[in-house]
Amino acid sequence: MNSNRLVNRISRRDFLKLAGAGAASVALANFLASCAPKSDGGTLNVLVPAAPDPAPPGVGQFSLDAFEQWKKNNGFEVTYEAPPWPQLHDKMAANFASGQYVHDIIYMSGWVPEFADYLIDFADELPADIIADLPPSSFSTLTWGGKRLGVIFTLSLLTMFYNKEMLDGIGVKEAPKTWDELKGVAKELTGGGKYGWVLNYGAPEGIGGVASYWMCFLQQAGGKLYDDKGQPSFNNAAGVDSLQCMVDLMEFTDPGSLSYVGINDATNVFAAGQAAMMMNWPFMWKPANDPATSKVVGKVNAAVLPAGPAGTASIDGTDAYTITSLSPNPEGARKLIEFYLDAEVQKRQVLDTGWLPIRLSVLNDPEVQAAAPNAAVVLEQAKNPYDSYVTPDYNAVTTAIGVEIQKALAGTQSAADSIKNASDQVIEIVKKRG
Amino acid sequence: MPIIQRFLTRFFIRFGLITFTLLALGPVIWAVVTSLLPLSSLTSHPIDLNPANVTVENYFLVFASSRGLVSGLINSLIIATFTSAVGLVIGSMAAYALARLNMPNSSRILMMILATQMFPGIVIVIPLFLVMSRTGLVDTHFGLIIVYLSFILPIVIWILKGFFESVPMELERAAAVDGASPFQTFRYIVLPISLPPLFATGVFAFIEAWNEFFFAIILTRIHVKTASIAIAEFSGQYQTLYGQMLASAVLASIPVVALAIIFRRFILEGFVEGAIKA
Repeated sequence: MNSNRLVNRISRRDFLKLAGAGAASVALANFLASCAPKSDGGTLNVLVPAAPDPAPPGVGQFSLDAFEQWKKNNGFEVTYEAPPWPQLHDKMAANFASGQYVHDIIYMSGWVPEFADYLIDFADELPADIIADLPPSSFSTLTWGGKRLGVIFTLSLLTMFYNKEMLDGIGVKEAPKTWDELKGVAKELTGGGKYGWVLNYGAPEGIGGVASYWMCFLQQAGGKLYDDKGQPSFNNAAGVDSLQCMVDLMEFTDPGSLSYVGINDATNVFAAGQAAMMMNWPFMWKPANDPATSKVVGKVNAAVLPAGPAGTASIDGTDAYTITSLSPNPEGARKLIEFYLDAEVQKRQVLDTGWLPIRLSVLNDPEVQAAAPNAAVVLEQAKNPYDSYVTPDYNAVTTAIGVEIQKALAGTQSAADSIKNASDQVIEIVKKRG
Repeated sequence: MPIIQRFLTRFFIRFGLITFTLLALGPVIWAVVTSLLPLSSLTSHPIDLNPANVTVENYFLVFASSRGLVSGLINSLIIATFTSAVGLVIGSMAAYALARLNMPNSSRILMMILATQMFPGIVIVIPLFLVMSRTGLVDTHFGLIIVYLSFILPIVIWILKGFFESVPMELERAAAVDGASPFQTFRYIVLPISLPPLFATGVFAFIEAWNEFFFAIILTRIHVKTASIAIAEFSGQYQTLYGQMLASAVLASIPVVALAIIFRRFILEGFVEGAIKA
């Protein structure tokens, strides 16, 4: 009865208005659907950082002829999107959150677990000769939920850079072998506006943030970030000792280190001859030996990081290529990644840009070792632990730890308190991980 | 005593003005100085400010590099010009309607317009990206202009509404007596006497659109990168080309500075009139 009354109250004009609104909604929906981006299957969209950060042929200036030939042979156009580095993560997060196809291949730096749901496992489909030529451990930071969700394209572990001339000046002929030795050398070299050690402790989070550096110290002290059940396990003697080692070094560290945000800031101090030692990424070998940016050309040497109670340890930069699950052409994307991993392309990568290859055969190439003398050191470093402990909440974890470490380094909190506070926060973060 | 008092008053006023000017100009001067030094000087510790190192190399390099500053400047010019022009046309009409036409629920409409400004960009960027992506508007001038209009229009409306309310009613009544319609009154009576606030608001809208970075980085990809993105691309994970970055920033600020100089009379009059009348 009520419904009849309602129907009777709708005039013909109201009915026409409703019908018009309905038709307009349907038309709009169809319009939106028809406007959705489609891949023609002939274009591969790739999201990478801009050079001189780790970039593929076509963004980095190497193997350009081979790249053109590959596109011709395989019938693909490749479109690169290279946003500023600080916005790279946010951009891919926005793209993934939209659920829209935007890219086929995406560069990742420690973010694989965070975006694991949007990536595909393709490592098993790579040719056997490539797989056999990669360090097996290179997949560890890319494996999540039992799936290998990417492939590393550059061996990027932290090693030690030191100024030979400055060490020679105090009669030290080789790099310190232990952190205690390093502190002694740093003490002697500090003075007159120069420092024994420099690093960027200004940013707490991410790979290259202070928390990630502490992970090197943690592993050399025999500690681990997580136990076998995935629970935080660093609130112990190894955790406190590792941070105390960093704190003790602060006396001989460039005080600017507390505010330097990027590795380039710390490298500038080292390259200006104002600091004798630092831990650094392999890529920095080239700028440190470039007269345009460095005053220590020919004086730089590399060595494995000093050892602690458990030996030497490092972390992995985890520069990798991944394929998105929304890619309409994952096979084409995989072929392009295979091209990036081609031995000749990998060789040009290191010779022309300074980014080390990941393929062992190329790393051991005499021409490569001559052009990048630090390659052998990085290979040696790779024989020791270099876990970066990446997780989906890596940013939150490293922020929590990094902020506490910064307090200890600034002298406002003891190492023990910092480790306890950091552990408490990470326990809460892990609980939310589920 | 009055002489001493006058002297002290002048002294403190001048001291305050000089301090403010130095604080305001300091970063600009530093940007110009940095743009004229080579990377080796800038990365020295301490920074090597030897005048002998001064060079314009950074300016040549930013044009020679593949980072797209020139196309970024062109894109920014297109987007900022259209945004401010369309914003002024629509915004001035909306502001006049809200100020004078006794529209029903005008105060509610004004509050709703204001409410659109209360959402942080980070909250709306993903839904916005989704809509833009589905409608094919990502990486287009049109898409970015629409987005910029969404936050520039409310500002334009609020600024101009305040000014239009201060225009003497007698002028509009006289026009009505002569048979002018509301639109004719707006077009032939109100707009001509509103040029200073229109210019001031237009320049303000242009600067907002020119400097915007957050939406531009998410909603563009390759073809419509703006100048602010091109400048940011000089900052990398492993190397920041400070000299080239600042040279780009200096170049990118020229259009805005030129605009401010050309229209300075209108801008000053516009804001002063707005302040007195609103």
